[in-house]
Amino acid sequence: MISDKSLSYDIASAKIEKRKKTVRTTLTGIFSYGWVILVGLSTLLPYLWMLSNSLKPRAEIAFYRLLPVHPTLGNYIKILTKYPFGQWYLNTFIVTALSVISTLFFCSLAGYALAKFHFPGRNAFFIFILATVMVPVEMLILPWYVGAYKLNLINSYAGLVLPGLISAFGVFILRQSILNIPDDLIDAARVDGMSEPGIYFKIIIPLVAGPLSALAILTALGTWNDFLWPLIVVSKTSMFTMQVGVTYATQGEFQDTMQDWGTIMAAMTVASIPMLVLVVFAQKYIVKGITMTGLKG
Amino acid sequence: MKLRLSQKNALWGFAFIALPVIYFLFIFIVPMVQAFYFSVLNYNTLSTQTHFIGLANYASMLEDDVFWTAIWNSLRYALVRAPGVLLISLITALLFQNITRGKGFLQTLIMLPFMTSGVAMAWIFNLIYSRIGPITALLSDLGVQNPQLLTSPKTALYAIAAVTIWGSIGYYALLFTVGLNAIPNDYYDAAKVDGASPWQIFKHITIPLLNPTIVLVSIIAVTASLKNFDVVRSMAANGGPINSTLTLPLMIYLEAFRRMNMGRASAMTLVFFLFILIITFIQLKLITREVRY
Repeated sequence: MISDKSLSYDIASAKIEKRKKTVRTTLTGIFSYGWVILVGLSTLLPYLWMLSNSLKPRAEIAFYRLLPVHPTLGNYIKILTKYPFGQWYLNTFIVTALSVISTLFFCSLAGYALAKFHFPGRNAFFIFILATVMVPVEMLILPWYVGAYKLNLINSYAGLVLPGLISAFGVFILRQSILNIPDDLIDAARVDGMSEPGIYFKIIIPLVAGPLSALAILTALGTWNDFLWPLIVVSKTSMFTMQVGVTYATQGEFQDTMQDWGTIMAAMTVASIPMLVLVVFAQKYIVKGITMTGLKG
Repeated sequence: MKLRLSQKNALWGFAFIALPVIYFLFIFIVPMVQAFYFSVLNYNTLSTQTHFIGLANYASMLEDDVFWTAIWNSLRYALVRAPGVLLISLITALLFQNITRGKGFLQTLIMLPFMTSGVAMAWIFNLIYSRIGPITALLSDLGVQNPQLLTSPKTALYAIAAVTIWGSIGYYALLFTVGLNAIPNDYYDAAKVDGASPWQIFKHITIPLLNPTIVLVSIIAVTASLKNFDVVRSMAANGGPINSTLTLPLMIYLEAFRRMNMGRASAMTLVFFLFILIITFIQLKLITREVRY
């Protein structure tokens, strides 16, 4: 039998427990928000510092003010007239577009072959392609350079784009996605008399549009921000990609004109804007791409 | 001639895979063999004479104090950078699980550096660390002796590591979030019914079940730290002050394209590859634990 006294005691202690829990949940909430907002702000501040200094006249750079007192576009005008930024944009755009188109086409083609066709050595090919991920680019880059030199590809788009035409990760994620397509669908198309390339273009490609978009964005990101290979394979100013060009311009402004930070920050802003705009529109695909591959572009 | 259906299927398969396989052969396998070959040559891009010199490149490299400095720098960079970014991003991912409002916006915000090139990140922080930068001002207000972190051999490499930590919190937090979301809710519910405290839940459910993700992500983080080139090159130029920021990838680049010594640089890339493999292996031994559900 339960006495009244113990019952009321139980209710009271349950109330205390509940209040304790509410307090704990509230504290956890405050702490969690506090932390992520802190991380968010510390992410944002360096960008704001870049933007604000790119708008400051030279005399103001040494003041630790986030907002410029007399904002000016002078730094942008200087950087854009002194260096061929338009040409560098165009070069980077061409190289990025070529890499993306080629990567999407060949990765889906190879992924399709590995997922849905039966031929001798299929698994060996798959393992071979995956194994190339292990090899560090640093080891390949010297032979690539020598090869590009011998084939006369230095200072050319072909040279710039050559190492980025197909990615092993792309082959892997597309093979996995195409495995999920039912065989019946492909067989039905064959019975209807559709050609093999026709099946690839009209049935397979539309069904893997999601993974393809994710791969497109990661490839674009990787190519746009790539630094080491363009730095090596290109020596003519007119063939620079954005990252190499902006480094060249920066070193000029750093040494010739005694650390003109406003101009340097303007150059960095110009170089970063396209990809920062992309993140706003394509966040969903970027997240999807990273979750699928676990790796950067 | 009429082909059987299975033969036709095999032929189409070969046709589709042929170009990619040839590409990987010429872009990965052939250059790998070439790298071995270059490393036993007296190969300087400025001279026309190239001849076999055996292991002389390896010998001169191992006798070079600067090479050992570069190995030590790479190691100390990875030892600071990888645990630093893993810890901060794991905490961030865990705390993101507790919030709902503004989550998408905040996640997009911390992903911004993932979209930014290493070059741009490096130069933003070159200004922030400079004589007229806010960090220098802050440190000198606090009475620190050498407030210009990038000009002191003691602090330069760590200052660079801090930038790459800042630059990849969002990316690693996302990888951890994927791992956390994969843990079935049933485990948490069962633990709560049994009256487990949040700390017990974290220690006995979250951490063991997250172990595969932790292994994968820490290997990615260490490898990426060892390979970093763009930020180090843009902040340290030639590895100064007094070689304190000269990491292996930077030394390889300078050896091949400043001193034009392809042979010795190739030998370094092979050692670098071996170095990464050994460290990955040690890591696998140290952090892999059996997961029992």
